[in-house]
Parts: sequence; C-alpha cells; structure tokens
Amino acid sequence: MVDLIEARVVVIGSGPAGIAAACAAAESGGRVLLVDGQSEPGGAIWRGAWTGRVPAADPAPVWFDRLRRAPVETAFDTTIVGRVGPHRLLAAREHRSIEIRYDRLILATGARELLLPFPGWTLPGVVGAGALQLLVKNGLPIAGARVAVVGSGPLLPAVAASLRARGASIAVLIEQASWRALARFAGHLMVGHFSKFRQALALKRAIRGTAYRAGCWPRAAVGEDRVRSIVFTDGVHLREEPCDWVACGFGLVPNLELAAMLGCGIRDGRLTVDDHQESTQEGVFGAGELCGVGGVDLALALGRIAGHASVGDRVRAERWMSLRDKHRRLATRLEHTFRLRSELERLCEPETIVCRCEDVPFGSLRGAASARDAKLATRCGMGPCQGRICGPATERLFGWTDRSGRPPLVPIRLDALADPPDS
Amino acid sequence: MVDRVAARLQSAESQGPIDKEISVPEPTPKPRDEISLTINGRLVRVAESTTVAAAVIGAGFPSFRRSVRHERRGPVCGMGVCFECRLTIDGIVVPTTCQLACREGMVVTTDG
Ligand SMILES: Cc1cc2nc3c(=O)[nH]c(=O)nc-3n(C[C@H](O)[C@H](O)[C@H](O)COP(=O)(O)OP(=O)(O)OC[C@H]3O[C@@H](n4cnc5c(N)ncnc54)[C@H](O)[C@@H]3O)c2cc1C
Ligand code: FES
Repeated sequence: MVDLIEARVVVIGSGPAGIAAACAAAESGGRVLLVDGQSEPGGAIWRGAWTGRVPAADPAPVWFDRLRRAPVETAFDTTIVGRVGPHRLLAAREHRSIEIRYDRLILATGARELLLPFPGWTLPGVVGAGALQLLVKNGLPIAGARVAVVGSGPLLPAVAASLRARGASIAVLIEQASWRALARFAGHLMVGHFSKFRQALALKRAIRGTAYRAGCWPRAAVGEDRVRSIVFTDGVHLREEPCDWVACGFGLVPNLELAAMLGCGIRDGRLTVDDHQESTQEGVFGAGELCGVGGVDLALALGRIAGHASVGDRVRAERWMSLRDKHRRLATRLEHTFRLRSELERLCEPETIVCRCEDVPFGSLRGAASARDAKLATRCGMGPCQGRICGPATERLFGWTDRSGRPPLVPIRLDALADPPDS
Repeated sequence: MVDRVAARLQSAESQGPIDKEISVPEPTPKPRDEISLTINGRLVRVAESTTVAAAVIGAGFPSFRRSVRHERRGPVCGMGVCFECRLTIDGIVVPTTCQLACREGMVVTTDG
C-alpha cells in the first residue's frame, strides 16, 4: 500500500521561504501541505528552534506562531525522492513511500554549503562551517575547542559568533575577500541598510579579539588521524595556526536537483522565475535560496510572493515586491563582495581528493572533458552523495555542470520503494 | 502574549512589510532528559535529542569510517548530504547518523 496525500498547494521545504509561502498561500485561501525531510520546520537557519532545543532568533518566533495558527497541514520526516507523473511526486518516510498530489507546487528546497577541495580537507575535523554549527546545535560539546573558520561570506562571522557563545575559541577567521571589498560593503550597508549595518556591528563585537584575516585563503589542513592545524596564505606569506576544528564554507549553492527533475528552467545556478516567482513550468513556483542566495529576509519576501501568487492572489503578492527588490539589491552586493578569487581554483595537488565518496584525486580529473566523461572514467560523483559535494566544486574547478536530476534524488532504502504507486 | 503578537501581526499584515519591528522574548530552552548509549564499547550519557554523529564525536571519536582508499573520514555537512557520517548502529549500517537522534540503549561502533 502506498499512502496518498493531496493538497491544492504543496510546499517542499520548511525553511523561512517555505514557511512564509505556506502561510501566505493559506491566507489567500489555498489548502496547503508543507513537506520537509527534517523532523521539524525551520530549515538551516532556525534548526532546533521549533522544539526549543536552541533559542529562536528573531523573527523565527513570529513565523512559527503564524505557522501554528495557519490552516496548514504538515508532513515532516518526508523527503521527496522522485516524480511519478504530472502533478504527482513520490516521497519516502522511513520505510514507506508516499505519493503526493498537487495542483500548485512551491519549491523552497534551500541551499547547502559550497565546499572547495584543498590539501587535507578530507581529514576528520575539517567540516562545513554551517555544519559545525548544526552539529553543536545537535549536542556536540564545543567548549574549549579551538576552531579555525575558513572560506568566504557573511555566514563565517555568524558561525564564529555562535560557536564562541558556546565556549569555543576562534583560532582564526580566514576570509578570502579583500579588506577593500569588505570596507566598500560596510560603507554600502551604513548608507542603504542601516539595520543590517547594526547587525554587522553586533557580530563584530561578538567576535571581538578574534584574529580576522581578510584577503587570505587556506592552503592545507594538517594532521595525521585528525586535523591539528590550518596553513593559510595572503598570496605572499604562509602561516600556520593550530586548531581542533577547521570549519569551512565558500558560500552557498542552491539545492536545484528537484527543480531540475521537474524540468524547470535553471540559469546561472539558480531557478528561473518570473516576477510572481513562477518557474518555466506552469504551476510550479520557487522561493528562497533556490532562486539565488540572498539571506533570510529575501527568502521570507520571496516565500510570501510565491505563496500568494500560487493561488492567484496577485494583489497580495505584489505588496511584497518592493521589499523583495530592496533585499535583492543587498544580495547582489553580497555576491559581488564575496566573489571567489581564482587562486581558490588552484589549491589542489594532484593527489588531493576531489570526490570524497569514491576517493577520486584531482590529478585523475584533469584530462576529463565533462562531468559525464569524468564519471565514466573515474566514478567521480557516483558515490552515495551523488555529486552533491563534489559537483559544485568541479563546476568551479573545471567549469562542468551536471543537472541530470535523475531520480531517486537521494539514496533511499529499497523497501520504501517496494510498493511503487501504480501509474 | 501570543494573542498580542497575533494582533500585531494582523495589523502588520494590513499595513505591509513592517514585521521586523515585532520582537518576542526568546523562549528558554526546555530542560533535557539524558539518554545512555554505548559507543565503541564505552557507556556514554548524552542529552535527549543529541544526534548520533554529535554524540560519537563528543565521546572522542572524530573518525567514523574508512574511505575507498582507507583514509579516515568524519562528518562534513551535518545535514544529511555527504554520507561521511555513516556508522554501524545495532549491527546495521546507518548512512546519515547526523540526522538520527540517539535512543536509549543504542550500540554504536565506528569503523575509522
Ligand atoms: C548549513 C547552513 C547554515 C546556515 N546558518 C545560517 C546562520 O546562522 N545565519 C544566517 O543568517 N543564515 C544562515 N544560513 C543561510 C540561510 O539558510 C538562508 O539565508 C535562508 O534562511 C534559507 O532559507 P530557505 O527557506 O530558502 O532554505 P532552507 O532554510 O535551507 O530550507 C530548505 C528546506 O528544504 C528541505 N528540503 C530540501 N530538499 C528536500 C526534499 N527533496 N524533500 C523534502 N525536503 C527538502 C530541507 O530539509 C530544508 O529544511 C545557513 C545556511 C546553511 C546551508
Ligand atoms: S555529516 Fe554529511 S551526511 Fe551526515
């Protein structure tokens, strides 16, 4: 038996964008189902706050309250793994498969961290920056540990501040963007986005005393059975800093696999949408980081527009457009400020592992012409993560794109598929 | 309290985007019960809702498995994407232990 759930509007992903979309669609009169592979709403940024495991930062409580009150059905621990037919998706929940039917679909599948390979990045103790934050939220003791935060983007100081608040000491924060770019960005915030400027100042205070190295990037993580130090450079000098953890992130990449599988248009690494957040597939909308990385405020605005528009309530949708434009301008600035320098593409030695699942070294990939070519020759991207970690990296290193989006989207237990729904 | 927030939300809704100014006090995190499990033969106690990956690193085992070339590996993404946190739990290989909460009496072993 396959369970069947049906709703007029189905929202995939319950991060800020999905929550806003579900609430907005319900307000505009739709019958809404909110689906997430996680066991609770909140997405990456509000993880753990719904159940009170971690304190909820503004504006999470307001949105959680709104979600609790809205006539929105929810299905957690439910991961979309494939498409069964028009307006029909297949989901897995533990040992069962569930068919989900919709009239309108809103994709709010968020983003993951971009990890770039460098010598030593496969050592235990080298983790994603947001990942370390998640592990700590999920019970990992960090007090007393020395953490090197490495990479690029506004997430790094946020992670450093939150780890420090839990007793970690930040050995060094290594940001690849130059001081000049950061100063220009700060000036822009001060003039155009004062509340963001205040937030940035508060963050700066929270990591006061930390060695903040702008215009620097990692060269190697060093250790035997786990990481012991990070070696970094400003292009001229090399420095080494002892640490227990290297938390790295070079920005975020949208989770486009489901959108690609549904045939939605994708350009420049983001979902193509019109002014009302509708994709190139009629009736399929997108919101949040999927449509370009822009932070929580933009995700909320896009979610509201998608939610209202999905049930044809264009008037309400249009109310949020000027706010959206404001946050989008900031997102463009961010993208510009934290654009990755080309030196990051030249960090690998021939023996540096690029595909962690299959242990494919950089040296054996250099001859390949495309992602497909590399797959056939080396199994790069064919392990359990299906290229989710190495794919965005090889896109940057070699310019390969691979958006085949073949189901199942995630490896699932075969018994969950034992009773495929009849087509 | 909740009603007041809802009322303010309603008025915020009718006036457009001003919900930034609403602030609600942070709820204090709930007290947590403890769970005991066995990690590499050692009895470990963790707070309820701790994930297996977090508990195993916390118990002093950052290396979870051996890769194809026999290198040591541990968790990387923390969100169920990379599959580097797989472990044997009660005799069964669990692919994403960063997504699994500890349960009383679990027996966990690393292969790293
Ligand atoms: C690891 C990490 C940590 C971050 N930490 C911070 C921070 O501290 N501060 C900050 O300002 N910003 C942080 N960000 C950025 C923040 O997530 C974004 O700015 C924004 O809030 C994203 O909102 P969203 O709703 O688009 O996506 P997300 O919040 O990423 O939500 C997407 C949701 O979709 C679900 N999903 C995806 N695919 C499927 C599927 N196939 N089936 C079912 N469900 C699915 C996921 O489980 C997830 O809950 C972080 C991002 C990441 C990746
Ligand atoms: S740490 Fe990546 S899947 Fe668990």
